[in-house]
Amino acid sequence: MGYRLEHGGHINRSQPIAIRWNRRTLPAFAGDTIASALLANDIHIVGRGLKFHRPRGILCAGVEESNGLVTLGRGAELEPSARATMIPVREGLEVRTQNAWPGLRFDLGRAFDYTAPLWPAGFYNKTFKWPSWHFYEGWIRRAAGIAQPPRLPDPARYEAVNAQCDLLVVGGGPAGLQAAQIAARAGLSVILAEQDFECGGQLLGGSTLLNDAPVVVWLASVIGELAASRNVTLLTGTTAFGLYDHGHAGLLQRLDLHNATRAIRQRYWRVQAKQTLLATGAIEQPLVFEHNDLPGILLAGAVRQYANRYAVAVGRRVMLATNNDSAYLAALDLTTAGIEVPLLIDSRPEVPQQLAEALRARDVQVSAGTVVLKASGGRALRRVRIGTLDANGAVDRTRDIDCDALGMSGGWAPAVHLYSQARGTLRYDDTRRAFLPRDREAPLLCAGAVAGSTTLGASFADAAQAATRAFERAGLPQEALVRLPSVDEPALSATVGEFRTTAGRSRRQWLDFQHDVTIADVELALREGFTHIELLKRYTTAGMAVDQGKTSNLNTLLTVAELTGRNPADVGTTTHRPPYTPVTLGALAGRQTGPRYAPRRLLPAHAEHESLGAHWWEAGGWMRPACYPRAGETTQRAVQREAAAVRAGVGLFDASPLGKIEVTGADAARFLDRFYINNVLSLETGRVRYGLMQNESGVIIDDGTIARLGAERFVITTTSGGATRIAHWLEEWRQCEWPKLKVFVTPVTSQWATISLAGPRARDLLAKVETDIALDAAAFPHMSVREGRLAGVATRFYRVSFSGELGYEINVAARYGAALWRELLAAGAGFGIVPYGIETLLLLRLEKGYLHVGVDTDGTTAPADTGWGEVAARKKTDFIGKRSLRRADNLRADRLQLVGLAADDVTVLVAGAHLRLAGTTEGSDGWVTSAGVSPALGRPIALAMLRGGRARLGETIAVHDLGRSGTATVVTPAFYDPEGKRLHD
Amino acid sequence: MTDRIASLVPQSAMPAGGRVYGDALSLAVLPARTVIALRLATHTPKIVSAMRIAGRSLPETPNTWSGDDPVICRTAPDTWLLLSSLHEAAELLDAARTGCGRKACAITDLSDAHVTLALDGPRAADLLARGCGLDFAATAFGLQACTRTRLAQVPVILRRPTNERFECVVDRSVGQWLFDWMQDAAAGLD
Repeated sequence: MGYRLEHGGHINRSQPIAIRWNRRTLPAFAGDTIASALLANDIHIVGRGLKFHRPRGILCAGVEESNGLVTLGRGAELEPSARATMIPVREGLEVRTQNAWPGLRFDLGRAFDYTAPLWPAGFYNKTFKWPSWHFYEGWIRRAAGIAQPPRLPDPARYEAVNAQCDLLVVGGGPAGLQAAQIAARAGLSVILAEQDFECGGQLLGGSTLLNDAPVVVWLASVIGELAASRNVTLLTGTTAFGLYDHGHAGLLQRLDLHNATRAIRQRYWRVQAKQTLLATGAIEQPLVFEHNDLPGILLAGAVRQYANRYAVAVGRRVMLATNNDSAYLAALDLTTAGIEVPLLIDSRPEVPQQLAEALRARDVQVSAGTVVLKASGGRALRRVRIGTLDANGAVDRTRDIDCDALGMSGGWAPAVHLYSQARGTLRYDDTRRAFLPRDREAPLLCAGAVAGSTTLGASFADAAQAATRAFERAGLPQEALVRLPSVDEPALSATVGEFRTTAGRSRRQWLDFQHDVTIADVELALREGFTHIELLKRYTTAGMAVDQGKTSNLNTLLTVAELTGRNPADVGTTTHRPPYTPVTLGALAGRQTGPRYAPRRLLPAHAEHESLGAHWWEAGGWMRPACYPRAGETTQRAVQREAAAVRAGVGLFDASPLGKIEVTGADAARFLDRFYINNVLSLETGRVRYGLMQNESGVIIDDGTIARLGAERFVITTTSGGATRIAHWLEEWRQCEWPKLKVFVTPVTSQWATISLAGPRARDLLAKVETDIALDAAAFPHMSVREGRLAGVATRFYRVSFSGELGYEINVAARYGAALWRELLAAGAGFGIVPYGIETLLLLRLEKGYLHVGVDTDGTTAPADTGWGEVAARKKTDFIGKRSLRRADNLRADRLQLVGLAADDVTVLVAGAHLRLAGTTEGSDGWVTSAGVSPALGRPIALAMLRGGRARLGETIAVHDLGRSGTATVVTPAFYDPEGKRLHD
Repeated sequence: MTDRIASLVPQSAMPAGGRVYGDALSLAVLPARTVIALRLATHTPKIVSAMRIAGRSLPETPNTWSGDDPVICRTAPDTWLLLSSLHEAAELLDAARTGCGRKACAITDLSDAHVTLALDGPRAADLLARGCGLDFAATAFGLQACTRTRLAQVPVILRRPTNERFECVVDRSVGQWLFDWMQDAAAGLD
């Protein structure tokens, strides 16, 4: 019977708050968590176990909570599996149970509990074999989930923030606060991360006086000082979930804990810390006995914390069971709060005399060498059977104790997760029955309970030592700048006794509350040979739940050690991996969602395209018009119309994203000649040559044009998506391999707007533009470049074509791009000019069989596979990848080779369709890389990579795509004007 | 039929303007500036210290800047960027060519390739921290600092003219996207 104490606690009784719990409204106070509010309202069942659907109550008071997983909010703002112990109440907060149907008090899933022998660890691996695993998989997966994710897009906002500091302090308990204060006074920049919504840690749950005053006095002073310090960033509600190489830490800050409507819900801090100090405390472990999962059984430290921090009594009559000294402090505080404690039992044969006497003076019986054998009570605890152990550890005599709550303490496991993540090694301490950092100063500084300290005084001393070490390492050799608080606390022994009894049914003794793993499961796994702790973890799933075994890993490995007769140090721990607690995916994405997912590059004439009704494509980071559909026109029809118009008249295309790189210097020609399979040295000034670029392995990486503007001046173009990559590629070779070449590489893509004119009327249209460049075919032939002035501005004027028609690319400074587009479009009205988009251009080039690197080629395609083998073989000078072209594999006749395909059936000839020998239905001889319906030919055409393709011209092959089949004829990859007459007109 | 196209009208990459967030921060798109890239094949300290462009010396330490107009940033061991609001590109190109004399160099007008965004105010560094991993503490990135880095995935050149002002030179094509990102991040500042 939980209830609110009349006095005490760190809650604000003048600020009542109502929350919704399923269909009820519960009163609470500011400062409560959901868990403390539930307990104060006598709600003990908060959820159901994963597998057996047994009723479960709050177990802990902190981050380690295993049972109290609840769903917050609803609709798009639904948050599943929130830990009730970590979420502060706020007005109107909606909390619901999960994993129970039809309801929490009566759950049909409980049938699994009554048939528990049928469902041991790994049952699904053994049972669901006929007719096949997949027959059952869907049902198993549904049953294995513990909550529903939100079905709607998350409307909340998240962000990532980078931060740097001299010292990252993880944990805002006594050790963390003290260390931060010392380090900050010494001048270090400090970030302190506390996962709770308040700093204080175990101080809030205790009753010790600091400097003869309540802890709030010291806390207010230190927190106030830290908050006011310019060199301190104090983050509450913030979990350090991962430590990575080079002092990098991941922190997750919840900004919505007190206010759900904040602009930013969660913030992901990427911290670069010169030093990290762990003050992460220790996590109390449960005792193991029959029915130790009943609601009403909590950790003793949690019982103490609910009384001291939240003024909540978890029961009217609270028994305590322990194997260490800490529960005595809980018993003392409970009696101080007026809660009846009939008995404290201690599994150790010797009890701490001073503490035991203090308890007896308060009418609390203390019984040494006594353990819990069994708890009983249906949906909530009613009775505990205890047994006194004889000298051999066997149960001597038993008796039943009536109680409605039990606080248990099975020792404390230092929270070494981050220490392990940072590759710190652990040592097993037999006295404490726990794993501790082997070195408290490396790789991280450790202070307080995580380093094994059991008293507050020791924690403060640790903090001073660690902080001093931190500022000494930073080169600030100052004396400790803080007088440590005086602590009036009893001496505590570090000795920890047995955590379980061998009596009772092992199938009813829980190790992992969240994944319903029992002692019997461990016994079974060991019988079946899973003796390695990592294998046993995966077989039983112990420690694999949302809580990652914070209350089960230690007990599981101690059980394995005991059952296999090994030392726990030899059994070892499982690997501690990030994240320490679950991280919202949205927080990792931060601002990188929707339109901010990746940068979007706009064309200089973006607004012109927009006004023409462009249908946009995102290509290579650019927003590009795919085509310009007219009213009522589909994009497919628009592309056909635009392509036909280019062939018949003239079209206007924005080619500004074309990668442009200036390569200058005395050695520019030699330098470029080493990158292309084509000859650059022989290129004359004013001329342009197509260039195919490969890497050292002889794989095609890019293509484009090489234009020679002068003896030592070149401009190369790259694919739009390859502009940055190729600039880096050139720089890498220049700086690392050929630093003595006199050459400069300057990317100029955005400096120039590139507007392309294509079609038989292109020259006629250009006659309407003022320019000092002679345009007639003889003076300005195909594959040439001129510099001059056009419409009053400087231009680099190319005569090139990717469409197969007479074509020009006009480069002007980007500021004139929009005007040039507008003026050409207006001037071309009399020639039937159409603007055309990238999708149309790709169809035009498909008709010509021009290569689209990255679409028609992949990471294995060599120049010879695309018909450029002879050019490469002819070239005398060396170039990157030349030697690779002579590899035996590159010379195989059955390599995938670029061919054209012609078919009658458009439904089959699509990119990605597979090619096979006609008449076969197995295997693949290649695939279609580009496809479309040719407006010039009026039939479907495609480019394809076909095994041994060039020797198969004329062959009819089978084409298969997603269950559809058809045939196509292999042809040379040039469908339209194969002689190229139109280019040269 | 249209008459012959005799002259084109220039258009800026982004309209100049900005947003103000109280005293904490203001964001601005600066008017177009002249940007000239200068690369030197040989850049020993002796050569660099002897060089003058428009009468001004070049910053000798990489990732620092100097001058008021033109501002000269050393963005790589062999690269300097000249930024100017007062000089036309042709003037600065000439000055750079004169300054380089017969030295092997590349001098390139990149005025149209860039836009400049400015962040002003005590929260300017906080905003940058939302998209950039560099340490913007005055001790780590002081008043003479400039650097090539990434902000919100976008390659930028950052410069700190005053303690509370940063200028961000960015590719013109992505300027609007970055400015939108800045406004979104500014709205989320506590």
